[in-house]
Amino acid sequence: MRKADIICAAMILLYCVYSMIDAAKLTVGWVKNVGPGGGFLPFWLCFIMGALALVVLVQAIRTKESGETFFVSKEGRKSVGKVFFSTLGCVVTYVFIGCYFGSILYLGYYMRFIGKRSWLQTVLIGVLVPFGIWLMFEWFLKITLPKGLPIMEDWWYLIMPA
Amino acid sequence: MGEILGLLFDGFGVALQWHNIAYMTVGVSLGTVFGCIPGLGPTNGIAILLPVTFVIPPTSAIIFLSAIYYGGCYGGAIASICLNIPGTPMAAATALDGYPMAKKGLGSEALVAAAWGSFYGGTIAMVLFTFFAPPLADFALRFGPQEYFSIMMLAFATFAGLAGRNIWKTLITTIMGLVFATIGIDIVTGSPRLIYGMTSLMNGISFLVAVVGLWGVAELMATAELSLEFKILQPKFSYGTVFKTIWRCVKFVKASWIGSVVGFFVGTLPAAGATPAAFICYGLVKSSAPADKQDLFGTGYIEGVVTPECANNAASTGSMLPLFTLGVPGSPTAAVLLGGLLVWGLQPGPLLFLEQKEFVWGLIASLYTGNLVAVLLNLFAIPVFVSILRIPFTILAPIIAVLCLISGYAMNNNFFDIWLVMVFAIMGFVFKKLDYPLAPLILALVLGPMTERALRQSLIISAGDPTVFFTRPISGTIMVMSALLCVLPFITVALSKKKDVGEGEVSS
Repeated sequence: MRKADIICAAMILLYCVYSMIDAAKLTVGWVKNVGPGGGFLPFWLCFIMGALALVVLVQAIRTKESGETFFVSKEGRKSVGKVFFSTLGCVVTYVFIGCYFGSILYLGYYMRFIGKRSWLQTVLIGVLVPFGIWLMFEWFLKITLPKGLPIMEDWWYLIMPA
Repeated sequence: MGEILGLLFDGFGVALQWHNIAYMTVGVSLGTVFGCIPGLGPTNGIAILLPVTFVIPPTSAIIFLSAIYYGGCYGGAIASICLNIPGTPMAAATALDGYPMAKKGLGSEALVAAAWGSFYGGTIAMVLFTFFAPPLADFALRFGPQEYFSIMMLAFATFAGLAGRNIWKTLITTIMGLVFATIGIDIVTGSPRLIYGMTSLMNGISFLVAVVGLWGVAELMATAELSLEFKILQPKFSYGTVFKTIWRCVKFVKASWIGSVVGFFVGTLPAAGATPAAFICYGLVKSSAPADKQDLFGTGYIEGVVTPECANNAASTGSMLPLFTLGVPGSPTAAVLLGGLLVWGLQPGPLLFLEQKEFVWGLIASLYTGNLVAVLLNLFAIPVFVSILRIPFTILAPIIAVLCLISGYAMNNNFFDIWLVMVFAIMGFVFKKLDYPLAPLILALVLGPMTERALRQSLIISAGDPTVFFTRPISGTIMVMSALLCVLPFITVALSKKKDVGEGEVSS
């Protein structure tokens, strides 16, 4: 836990420094008769946040290792990894084959291989949920959801005239 | 008084239109379902469904979303009692006595007591809301940008003043929210800020993306870590117990009133909200109980279920008071509602009470009717909601995840936002583990643009003179209050250290 605390505080500190450099491209100071310039808030907020992160960092370094681990158990870490990486994989499939087929793949994979559900459940839910999403977003709300690569998009509009 | 009742009466005219009753009923049912599923709370549920409301009229939309909110307050108790895992954080205190009751075979009594407590707390809080909101809004009409800026400062100061274990981490997440809010085009000069060379960041970071990441996907990860399957204590349910238990609960007059009134006022503070409200009231009722009853708390005592449920529902209603009168949300869920209001083109604040009477009073009236529907649903459909808990996590998790990703996209039709959801998911999970509070982050993210606008407007009016915040009487008073709140934790720390040294032990 101590290590995680240190890393996290250091990351925040790094983010602050990086943001301060980015914000410094704009007017960081006080413009006469107008008030703060465009970069004033981002710069000084990051400055304060960085200082606070430094305090947390020092605190974390000075505390003794509590013996508490970041993840409650090995199995716990595995389950978190499964949820996170499968969802990340899902986003990657969205880039290529769009959110409908991507969701079908992801739901199917998760339920069948992580959840060990029956094929019937897997197929039923895996198809119905994306269909429900299409109904809700595309049909009812008229929000165009990502269809993936251009070629996938062309196919989509062949079968589903907009 | 008479005027308020008249307006409320008109509000019922709006709330009782058939389509609004339908939205409210659907909202309450969905909210209860969201609330009872660990890993999917009302905050995230409202964020997921926010895009859906863009096509319905704002009055119906707010009735629908706030119905989800208090529906979630009812639902959270179900998982607390049957699983010993709170469905929403605010139901954590309910598990203290609710789960032991379920273990004793009194699960359905506990569920009935929770529903009754929620109804009681919600209704008392609504009455308070009805009579506090108009005068507060009236007062706030005198506010200029200077006062708004100081009100926002007060909201942020409550985080510092009421920070939990680590004030530094609370301050970090508050400021982080403000920093994220500055990302995008600067409202005054029009130049892009903090976009790190990524044009996709020009639109800024939408609060909705942050919410579905921090509360949605991150919560799924946290729930998965506990275990992929839950053990449910299935309560035996009969309609006879409903009336018998309500009759028992009616007698807890003091506990219910403490829960409702204290809960309401704790809820109005941006930093506190429903979770601490429930614990505070539980503690108050326990310590004020007669000595022979005190030992019963924690072992499955029915009063210990009624109190926190009164408190968390009252607090949720309370968190809407500053939202509608001042435009400052009292809780993360209220912050999401605020985001929704802005998307529909409504600026919450005192003018809402003048210009959008139908909207405001329709909503207030719908909270009364909605509480009634929610309690009936939660008393007589208990078996249905308990059976929802039996849906395996491995089916729910991917569905929730997909919904989070899609609604993250749907807010701005921007694929980059989906990646941002994943970034927020990691952040949310790590922050939760390391005790960085997330509520200040989301509140600051939503309030950030308004705070900055108020700050810069005031400074343009005063030709760059920052003393203007202190020389105006209302603004000055609020600023002094904020400053005191910020100093408060340091004083308490110093005092407790002194005491510790006096006792010969130094606590870290």
